Amino acid sequence: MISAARRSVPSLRMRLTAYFGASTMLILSVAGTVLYANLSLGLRSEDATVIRGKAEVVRGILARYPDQPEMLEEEVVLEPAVRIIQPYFARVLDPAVGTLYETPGMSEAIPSAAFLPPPASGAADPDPTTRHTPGGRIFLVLTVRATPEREGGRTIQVALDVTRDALILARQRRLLIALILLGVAISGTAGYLTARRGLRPLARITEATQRVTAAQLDQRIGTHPWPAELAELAAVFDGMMKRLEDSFDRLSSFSANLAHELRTPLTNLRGEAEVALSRSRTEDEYREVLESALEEYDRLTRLIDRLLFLARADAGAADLERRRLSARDEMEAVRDYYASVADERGVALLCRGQADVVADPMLLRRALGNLVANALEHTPAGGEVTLSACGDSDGVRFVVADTGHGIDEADVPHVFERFYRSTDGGGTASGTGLGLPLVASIARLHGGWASLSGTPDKGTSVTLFLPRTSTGPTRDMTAL
Amino acid sequence: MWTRESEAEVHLIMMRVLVIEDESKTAAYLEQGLSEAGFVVDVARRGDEGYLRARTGAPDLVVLDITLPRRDGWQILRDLRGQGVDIPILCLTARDAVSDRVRGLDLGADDYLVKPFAFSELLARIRSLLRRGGPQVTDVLAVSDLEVDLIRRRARRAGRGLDLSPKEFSLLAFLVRRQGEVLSRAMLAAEVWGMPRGTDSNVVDVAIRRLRAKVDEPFDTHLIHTVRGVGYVLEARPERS
Repeated sequence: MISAARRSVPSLRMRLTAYFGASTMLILSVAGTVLYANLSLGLRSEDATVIRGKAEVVRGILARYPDQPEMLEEEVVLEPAVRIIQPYFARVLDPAVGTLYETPGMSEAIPSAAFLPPPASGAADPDPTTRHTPGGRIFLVLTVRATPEREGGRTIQVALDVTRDALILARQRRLLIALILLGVAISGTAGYLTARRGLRPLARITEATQRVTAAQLDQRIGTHPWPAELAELAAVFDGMMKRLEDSFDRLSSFSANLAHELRTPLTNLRGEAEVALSRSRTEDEYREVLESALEEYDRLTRLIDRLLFLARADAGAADLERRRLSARDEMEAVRDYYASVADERGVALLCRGQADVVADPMLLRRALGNLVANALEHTPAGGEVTLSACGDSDGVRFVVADTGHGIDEADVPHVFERFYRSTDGGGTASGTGLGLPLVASIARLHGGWASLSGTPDKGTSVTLFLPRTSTGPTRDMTAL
Repeated sequence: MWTRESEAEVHLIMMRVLVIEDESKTAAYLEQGLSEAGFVVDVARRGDEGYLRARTGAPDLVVLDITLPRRDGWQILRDLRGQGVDIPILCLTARDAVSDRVRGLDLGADDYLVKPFAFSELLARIRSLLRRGGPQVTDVLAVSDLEVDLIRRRARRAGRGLDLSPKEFSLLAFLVRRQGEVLSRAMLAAEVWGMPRGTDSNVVDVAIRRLRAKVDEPFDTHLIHTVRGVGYVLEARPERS
């Protein structure tokens, strides 16, 4: 099962590795791209400043020192010839004469077609444009007007060699890619190692879990100092184990109790029959044995009836015949039945309240009857047992309260368990230890619940809640 | 043992009951018990055989086990009703899921008993089925010197009015109506108080004790008798010596 899951879903280790790598790549790429763009823009604007500056200088000389050609020559011919960093070419054109000055080798380096025609007179200088020459070099070119058209219409052409910029940028790009790849590799490896280390407790918790078997349900894994995230899992797992263990315990004690309950009447039956047959008896003695046997059969029949009912209720298979009933009528029917017993014991049996309830009448009477029988059994003479009903929008609450000797607090959580008998030895209604579980089952069949509260020496009260609208039986196997 | 002849029972004597039951111990005690209760009993141990006898033997009532070899109880029930046989049929089964019960009654069973059942209960049901359509119960019933007026809900014994609570009267009336029949505590709890089966039926003992205090104790002869392990019966027994 584990290998199948592994096949379809990548392991946590691989996932973490991938997440680390991907996030590193993302961070480095964004940072690198920003830096690269910044560098590229910076270079370009610096080049533009340089080329505009050159054009401006030439134009200035032409305008201010028209009678000093050596200045122009210095700027257009001599300086470019010796310049190593950011070499440039410049040319001054006169429409009448043609080329006035030109940096030597300019025509060979850049075809004159690469230059745009000059802008219209009076227009602002255009932006420089980039040109790739057949020789593999890259130039920034700019054509500006030196003098307006009517004053001779001279133009200046400047070309700045920016091949080096491209080289710088290319190197930058390579560096960046290398950096990203390296980063991804490092962070991926780190991610893999971290994940492996970080997930080691998971392997250990799996091992610890595997040690738990049906025979060792008392094993707990929460005792180990797990990291916070796994501590929670361990606690949840332990909680589940606790419930399982409890259910197992209850189930096995249920079976043991059941065997015991069956054994007692069988022992009586067998013993009485054997003793009776061991010698010849009078007719009355035989009759005595048979009558006693009938009582034991009754006991067995009742036990089986109750167990079957509980089993069917657990399986949700008991059929309910729900009807709209008057809670008061049902309570009074139960009171009528127990009235003689209450009277004999000197206990007042009272009914209070009224509500409409939708329930199976036989099951409701059975539940209330069990509760009243219990209450009467635990209430001394002079006491009181009260049956009351109270309805609201949720449903109807039946309370059977007595003024008996109450219940030991230690017993409260267990009273709805099958065959549970309180520590003080007091039995339930019929003494089978199935009375209250039966009430709880009937409540659940109606989608409701039952609860018990008591104060020692003050009395006990059991609440049976039946909802107005049922969403079907509530299943609760923990009551087993 | 189970009953004594009394006027109310005379018309039931010599009624023919067919028992279709394969389990030999069950069949044997049913035969003995019913014979001793005054019925003429015929036992069929197989389904097909039972079906034939039910059709040709003209019994007054059939006690039918559901789990049978050859032809099961459901099938026999369906076939008999399909053939227009309308004698009362009482089904016996070890399965008591409500759906089974409903199925039995849907198929035309008149009553349904779940194993293990008290024999007294079976007897009571059989009598009740045979009485159906029989002589109408009169308004005033009498056993020995006890008179029960069902309309006015009053009881008198030896000419003296008895001071009974409504429930005590209902209990007495039921016992008198079924005089001579042994009635189980569970049956009394169900019929008189409307309490479901499985209720703590010892309460009935207390109610009977109180009834006796009013109906029997002030008088020389006792009418309400305990049948230990089974229940109670109301009948006039010969004076004890």
